[in-house]
Amino acid sequence: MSDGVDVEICTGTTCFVMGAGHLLNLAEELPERLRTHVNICGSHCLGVCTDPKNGKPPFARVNGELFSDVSVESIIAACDQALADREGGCHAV
Amino acid sequence: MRYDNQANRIRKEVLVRVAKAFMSDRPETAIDRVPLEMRPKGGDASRCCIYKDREVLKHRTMAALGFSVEDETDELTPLRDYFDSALQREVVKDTGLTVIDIACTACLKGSYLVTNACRGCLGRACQTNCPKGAIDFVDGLAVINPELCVNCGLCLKACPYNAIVRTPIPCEESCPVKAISKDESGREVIDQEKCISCGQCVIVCPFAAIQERSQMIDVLKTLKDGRKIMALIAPSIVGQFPGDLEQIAAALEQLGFAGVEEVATGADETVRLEAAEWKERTQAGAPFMTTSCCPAYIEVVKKHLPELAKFVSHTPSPMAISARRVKAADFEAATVFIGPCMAKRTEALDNPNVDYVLTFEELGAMLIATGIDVQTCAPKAFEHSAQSGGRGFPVSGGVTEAIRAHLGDEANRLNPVVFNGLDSKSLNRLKMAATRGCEGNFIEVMCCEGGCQSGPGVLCNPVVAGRKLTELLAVS
Repeated sequence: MSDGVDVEICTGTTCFVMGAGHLLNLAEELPERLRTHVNICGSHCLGVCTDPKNGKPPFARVNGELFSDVSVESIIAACDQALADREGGCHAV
Repeated sequence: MRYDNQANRIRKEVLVRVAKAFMSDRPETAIDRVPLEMRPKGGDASRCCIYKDREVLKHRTMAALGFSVEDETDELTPLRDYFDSALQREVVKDTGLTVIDIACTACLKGSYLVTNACRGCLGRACQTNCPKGAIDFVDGLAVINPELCVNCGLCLKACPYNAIVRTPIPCEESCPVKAISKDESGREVIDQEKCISCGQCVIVCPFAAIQERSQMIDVLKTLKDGRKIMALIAPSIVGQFPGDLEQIAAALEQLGFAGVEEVATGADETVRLEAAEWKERTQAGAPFMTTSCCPAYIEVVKKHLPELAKFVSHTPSPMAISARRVKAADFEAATVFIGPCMAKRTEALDNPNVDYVLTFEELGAMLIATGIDVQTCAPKAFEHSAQSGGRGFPVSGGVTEAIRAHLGDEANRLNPVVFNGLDSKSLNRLKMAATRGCEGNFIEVMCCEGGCQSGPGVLCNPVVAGRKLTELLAVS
């Protein structure tokens, strides 16, 4: 597993329209503490929006884990959590 | 997060559900169920309970079908009846913005409020500094008397505990022309005589209480009926969907549009005509000329600054030029302008060449409902491609740049003033230009700060869309 946190934002049309279009400046909106740890990439349709059980679009994966109805803030929280988990429960800030 | 929040997402979800209902086997039943499915029994409520939420959602669905709250004469009328009469509608007649009264939370009128951080201190700097004696102490804590308060803000500055906050009314503050205000119940009402349809209130209302009347159903019906229908895409569409411009065109054809016209080609023509008009007018002694492409600005001139009218360019807007071209080629074809703008609906109402106007939100909902993924569409080349001048229109300063480039050697005479966004201050400056003269001889006005890329119907962060446009302009 890589050193950082991998964020994959779905940019399929559904996710893009429902809010992912507003998340694409995430790299610049990340707080200083995360900038060197997070790798962001857009992804073709993840294919999860067709099943309502997965929740609402837009979707993103943070270190492989799926998150629904994401916003800049919720992705930041997920990144913090992923870093904290890796440090064995300590806060990696 | 000016554009992207839960209020905005709910509005888009309603559009998607309405589009899906239209395409389903039993559309009437599906339409009736939209509020129930969005707020199912046992689920979470945004407001006091799911029943109030459902009632608000019923009104949102009505707006998505093209109706306003005022169209509701009997509360028992089911959504399917509105759906049926939307399908009967031959032409769009009414486009004004509408406030869903039960969604409006009637924000506090007093702009200044003492919070529970007040310590009831000995100094009482708030009371000492209040010029109107509006601050009393009740049970040892400061209270502002709204009858006496003049909203000067001195108490807020004086409090050493930061216990006083300013609570704005977002819609009223965002409106450049003071067209929205409270009625006796405290809820907001739009004065249609003053409203310029710019949509700023729609963007900022945290309860999404202000809605426009969608024309999506009219377009879906026209597509289903098999009538030839042409899409006219605004220059600002770049970056509003995944994929590139030619893939967006392909997605539109998959939706059923017979052809796609880049309105940036109309903008190229606007540049040629406007540059010539500016030369002619200024050589004849006119002190300055203003642009005419922003429809919200045109409404400002009509409703609020009639003294400016004689300085406004007579050159048709890019939409008007493109629509005229499309209708000239085939009069029978229906035309749909697709853009970020709500005021374009007003402009289209007076233009017989434009049948419908959709926002990017509405087009997005149609693509979702049909399951078309723009990124996987094979690019479709345009019959007429636009130049960089026209494609640069959706950014503040873009029109000026295009005119400058077109003027060539004569551009040294051009002394532009750019109005990047309208508010009450810039409106005063425009008024001054009309009455006392202007420092420049060419005025570009865009109602939305940043240009059309920041319009109320956009889907993409304007910074990202701006970057994508810059990339496209480099190769145009």
